[in-house]
Amino acid sequence: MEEPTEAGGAQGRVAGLLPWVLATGIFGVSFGSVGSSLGVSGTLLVASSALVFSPSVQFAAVGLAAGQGAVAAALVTGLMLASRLFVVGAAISPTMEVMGWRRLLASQLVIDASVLAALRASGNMRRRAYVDVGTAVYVSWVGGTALGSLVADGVGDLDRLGLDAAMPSLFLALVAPLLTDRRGLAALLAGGVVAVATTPWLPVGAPVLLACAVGTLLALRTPAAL
Amino acid sequence: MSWWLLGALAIGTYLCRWAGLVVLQGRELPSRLEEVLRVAPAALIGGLVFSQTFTDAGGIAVDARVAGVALAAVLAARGSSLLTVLVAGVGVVAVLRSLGVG
Repeated sequence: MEEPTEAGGAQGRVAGLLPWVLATGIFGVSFGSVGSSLGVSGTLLVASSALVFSPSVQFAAVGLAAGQGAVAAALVTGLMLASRLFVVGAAISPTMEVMGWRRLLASQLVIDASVLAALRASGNMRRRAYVDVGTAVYVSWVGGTALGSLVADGVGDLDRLGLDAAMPSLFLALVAPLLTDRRGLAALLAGGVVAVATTPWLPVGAPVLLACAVGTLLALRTPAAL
Repeated sequence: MSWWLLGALAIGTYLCRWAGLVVLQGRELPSRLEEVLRVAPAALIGGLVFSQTFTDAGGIAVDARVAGVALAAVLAARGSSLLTVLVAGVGVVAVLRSLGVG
């Protein structure tokens, strides 16, 4: 398999990050422009990307808080979406021995992409994969947000370009090598079905949490051999 | 969005991240828990990917994304690079939409 980030060379290392920079950068531009069109200041948008650093939480906050008296709803929804990050962080917790101030910085880089990149890397490459992908996504998300808030309405409809398929495609490419047995596949499919089926009935954020719980439980009851 | 909301979300999000990262550091894990931690990310990503593919604005929706992500899934399963999977997934959706599909 082609895997430049593990190949060692600095050039390959940077090349491996390109998909993240592209996808997250453009995604950031769309967040910045959507936020601006809802009347949120550029400073606030960029600060939220730097401090909250979670697209789903930020889109929910910007979208919901624009409504009348909806700050409480935005807060509750945002925190529900954020709680997913606890599970994501816990998945690499046993193998990431970082202490002191490094741990405070490393915490901010807990996102799906960095954790999946770490899980598919081996041994001592794990931390580097985590920091590389986490930093690339962070910089391009914050930079994209700034750009999007500046050009605001000039961006137009990015979905026309198919960019709403970018994140699911990247996540599939990242998770594929981890699906080494029937359990992983069962978890993925069960989680997917549960999330979609419950979306019309549950508040934003809840379907994915439920998917994680149900998918994990079902997978554990599945025979491991493929 | 106000600075108050931003501050609260920033603190809440950070605490979730930090707590997850440190909760199991330096501990001997029972094999059952190791297995949970191995499959939980797959379940979570499954939930995310399917949501981003089959839902829109709080409802179930089937459009051009399904074709793009399906191709991405096939390429990912065959071990294609991240960039290939990304370009193929996005490209299919862009082409379909330019043809007026989904």
